[in-house]
Amino acid sequence: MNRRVLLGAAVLLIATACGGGETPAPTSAPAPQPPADQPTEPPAQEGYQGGTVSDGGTISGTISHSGEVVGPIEVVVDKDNEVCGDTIETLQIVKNGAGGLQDAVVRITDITSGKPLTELGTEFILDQKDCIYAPSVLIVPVGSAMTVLNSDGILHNVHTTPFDNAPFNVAQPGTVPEITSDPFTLPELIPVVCDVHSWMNATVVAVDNPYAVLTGLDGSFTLTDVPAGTYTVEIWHAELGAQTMEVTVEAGGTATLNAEY
Amino acid sequence: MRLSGTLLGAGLILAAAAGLLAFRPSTDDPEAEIVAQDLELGRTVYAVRCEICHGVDGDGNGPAAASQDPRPRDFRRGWFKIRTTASGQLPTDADLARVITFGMPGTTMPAWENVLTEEEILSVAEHLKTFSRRFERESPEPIPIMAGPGSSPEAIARGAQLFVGEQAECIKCHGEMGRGDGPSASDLTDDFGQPIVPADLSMPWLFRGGPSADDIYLRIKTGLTGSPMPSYALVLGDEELWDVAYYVDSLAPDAPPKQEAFLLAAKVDGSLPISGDDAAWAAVPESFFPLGGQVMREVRNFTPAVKGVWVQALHNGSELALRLRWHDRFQDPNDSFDVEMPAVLAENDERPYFVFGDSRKAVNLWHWEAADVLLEEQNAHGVGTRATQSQQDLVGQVEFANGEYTLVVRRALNTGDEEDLVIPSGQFVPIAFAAVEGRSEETTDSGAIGSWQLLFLDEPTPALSYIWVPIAIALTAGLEWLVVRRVRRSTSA
Ligand code: HEC
Ligand code: HEC
Repeated sequence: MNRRVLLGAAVLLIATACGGGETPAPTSAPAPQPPADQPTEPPAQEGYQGGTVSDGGTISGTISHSGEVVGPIEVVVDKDNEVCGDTIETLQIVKNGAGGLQDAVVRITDITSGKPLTELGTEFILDQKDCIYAPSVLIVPVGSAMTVLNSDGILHNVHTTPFDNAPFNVAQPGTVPEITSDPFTLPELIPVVCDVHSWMNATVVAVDNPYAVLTGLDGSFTLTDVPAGTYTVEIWHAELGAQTMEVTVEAGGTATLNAEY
Repeated sequence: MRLSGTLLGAGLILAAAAGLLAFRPSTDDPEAEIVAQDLELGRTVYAVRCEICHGVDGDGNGPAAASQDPRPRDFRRGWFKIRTTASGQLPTDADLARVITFGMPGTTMPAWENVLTEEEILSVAEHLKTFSRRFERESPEPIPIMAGPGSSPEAIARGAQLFVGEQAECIKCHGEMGRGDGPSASDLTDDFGQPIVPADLSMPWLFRGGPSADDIYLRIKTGLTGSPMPSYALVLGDEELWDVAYYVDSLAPDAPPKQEAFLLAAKVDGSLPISGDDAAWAAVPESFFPLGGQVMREVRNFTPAVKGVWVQALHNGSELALRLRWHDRFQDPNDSFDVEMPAVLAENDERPYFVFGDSRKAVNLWHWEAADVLLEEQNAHGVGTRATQSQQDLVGQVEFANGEYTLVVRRALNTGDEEDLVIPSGQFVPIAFAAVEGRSEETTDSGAIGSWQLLFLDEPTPALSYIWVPIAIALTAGLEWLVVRRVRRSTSA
């Protein structure tokens, strides 16, 4: 009895010693599982070749959603109310009357040559306005950076958690209206969060070819100047996840791709 | 990796700051040196020293990982907090060597400086790099830094302005007084999805990357990758970064206050203060007692939220008053605090087990609970045996502001209640403290607790305390030796 008591005292003395670096006695409790998502092998960089596409085809169609829409999810704002308001409604799934799903990403994942990457644009802007991100999904080609605006005039932090790209977490106080990220180097879906306002989140879709597009208000999309061939197309939505389809494009023709969640 | 001028400069400053000269590359070609590192040695060191926490595959899931907070790092993502590189970049070899050498205070990550040789540290760092493929693709370079211009009252004042003002808004997370209690503090998670809290800047001895102004400057500039703590490199200039660093540095000493041999309750005439703000406290010295986890009794808690308590004591011959101050980021109905004393003083100085007594020896608890603003005398003879005393003799007052509780509690030295200790003056009385942060699901018996300390109620003759000091020191030392000896005996038995 006495021994155990004294041993306890010694263990606690170790545990209370300031300055950290203490080694706790190993316990036999089961270890929690690691995050299910494992780092992926970086894709072999064959390198996408951009150039002129003559007689390319088109892929177009509509992504729709037939399930029930939950929400909007209402967040009660408990900080920065002057700027953020008292509640923030986040619509996880936005669709029109016919079920057309907005803000789904449609992209070819296995194309090695085609139109230049610059077709996606040259400036990629993520704005922080009214304490939400606009847009909530941003397509950025590898090699390009993202410009982050702070239209709110209060502190946000721009915090990404990618697997393959270098992550970053930078403060953007209200006095700094614009910052630029490092260029993205590898294609992947990258979560963006603001820790100051825990409800804020967005996704950067880093792509290594220009055949990527967001669906519009009615769920429709068009990918143009696709060299003839058969491709894997991935459709991804922040709430509904990913699905892939095969599509064959003929020279000068239009392939229709409709998908439903 | 090539050594550029800035890099070498940065390396030198850092090395000087951290006493790390030993890790400064000594040849023009550090790469050659590193290649020469024995990877086999690194593997062996890892298996023997690190695997138990960081796991065979570097996934942070070793057999001892459960119940650690923060959890041992998963190395597969290449996320490192303590760096000289820009936000999100990998650490340099010197960064890894440094953090392995000095450990991460306030966590279970040990300092290996007295355990491993320099060669072993460099080798195991090399082995860690095999867990993330990012090390093959990226070559981290230190961010350009500026040598510290030196602290001054002006720099500190400018830093304070930045800290609270719109240019940096550190208060959003760290709170007005820097105690980690800002409006955004309560729902933070790290990049592995584990809950995390902003550092309490008044306890720099628990900073993961070290307490010095140089360390703080680098942490603000580079951020702590994998945590919500962002980099300010893009938005503050070096002068401003130093101003903020000097302000944070001015908030508290680098090391915890030295623990006094005992807690002296000076004798005063007249009534004792009941309010924490009473001017009477200004003249009373404050002692800091660190609190830690208790790991012997269920429920174990290695890293409780409350890290220590500042205590002042006064008596007037008939009553004892204690003023207790502790940091708690989140005011919660389940917050509570205990002052503990033996229910009786044993002749041979044998004390109850400090974790709320034992079956043979009971303790008195002066128990305060945020819910119902309860202040109550309890007795206990072990974890889970608290009972409210039938006679209640405590008076007190509590206040909470900016992540800090101030509790004043008073009791008659002799209450006439046979369950109560008659607190003698001119004699050492064991006293211990325990604190519960309700929000972190700690319970009254599983919060932070400290081992027995000594309380001494001064007699009117001032000379007496001078006699007692050396005796108290000798006594404490002797007791510690006794504990150590008995533990040794019992472990070898
Ligand atoms: C008792 C458990 C334990 C052991 C043993 C241990 N570590 Fe750690 N280590 C941790 C914890 C916990 C963290 C995370 C701390 C944090 O995130 O604040 C950590 C973090 C680290 C980091 C990340 C540093 C940074 O800048 O973020 C490195 C590198 C590291 N450990 C190396 C080692 C090496 C090398 C060994 C063996 C020589 C070792 N550790 C042994 C618990 C341990
Ligand atoms: C978005 C929230 C957030 C903001 C804004 C923030 N911090 Fe932090 N800070 C944290 C968190 C969380 C930690 C704890 C990280 C850990 O334990 O690994 C931390 C830790 C620290 C540390 C301790 C570093 C160490 O070695 O352990 C210091 C110093 C610090 N912050 C200073 C600042 C200063 C100065 C500012 C403003 C210029 C600031 N922080 C802004 C969240 C924040």
